Amino acid sequence: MTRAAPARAMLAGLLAGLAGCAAPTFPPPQQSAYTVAQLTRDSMAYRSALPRDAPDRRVLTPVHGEACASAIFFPPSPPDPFFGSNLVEPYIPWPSFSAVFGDDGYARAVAQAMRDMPDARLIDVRADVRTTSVLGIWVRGCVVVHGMAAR
Amino acid sequence: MLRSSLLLAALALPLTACLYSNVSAPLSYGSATPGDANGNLGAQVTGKACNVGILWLVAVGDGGYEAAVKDALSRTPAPFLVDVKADTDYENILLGLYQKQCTRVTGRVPAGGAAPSPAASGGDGKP
Repeated sequence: MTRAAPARAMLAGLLAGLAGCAAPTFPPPQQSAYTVAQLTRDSMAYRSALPRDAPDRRVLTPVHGEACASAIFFPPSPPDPFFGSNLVEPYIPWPSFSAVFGDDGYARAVAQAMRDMPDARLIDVRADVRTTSVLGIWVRGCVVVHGMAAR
Repeated sequence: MLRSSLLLAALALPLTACLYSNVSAPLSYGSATPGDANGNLGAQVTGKACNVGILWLVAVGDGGYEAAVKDALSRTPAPFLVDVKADTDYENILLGLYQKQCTRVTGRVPAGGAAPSPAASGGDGKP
């Protein structure tokens, strides 16, 4: 062990800390060798209806629905640095084991949005991903769909 | 020295992510086209919604499409936007000590009677 070892360890710690607060991507990265378990249904594509698809609309009601999945990472997931750079991630020396469960697909979110008006048509759809992360160990990602139910 | 290095590395383990984050990011927006307003386009409006990260420790905000569209429509009784353009603004100060990401939507509102106002429908319909 040389005198440089503590400095290197401190640098590693600093780099790890700089991975810091991130907007972790969710759904999490696709299955890897370190995914212990994954039982998910994730959003992929949704070609939603447009206002013209409900030409006789007389009533527009704002609705929203959401579908969520949860993940556990250990050691904590090294998320993409918050905005922009992926500078730090390659230098974090350990893999992160994960288990991911849940249905955060469009179908479930839309079904929840329309559950009170199953005969209506959902138009002008905005979809967001809300991600909540605690210590990078527990991450919950929800696909949130907002739109207008046209009848 | 080896022990202290290992200890430091062990302490660094939980630091690989921030303490807490609760952010919303845009995913998709099936926005209306001018044809949905019968070609009658009104005023242009802009809305903005942001996420903020501070000290690499906490990230919060609602920077998704819904918040940005809601902000844009707050200035008009129109039910939806037409001809929507979506952009992202980034602010990153001192290596990310302060970070802000905003979703900005710019669009036109349908002019005159292209659609009924959601206010006329009664109820917000939230599940």
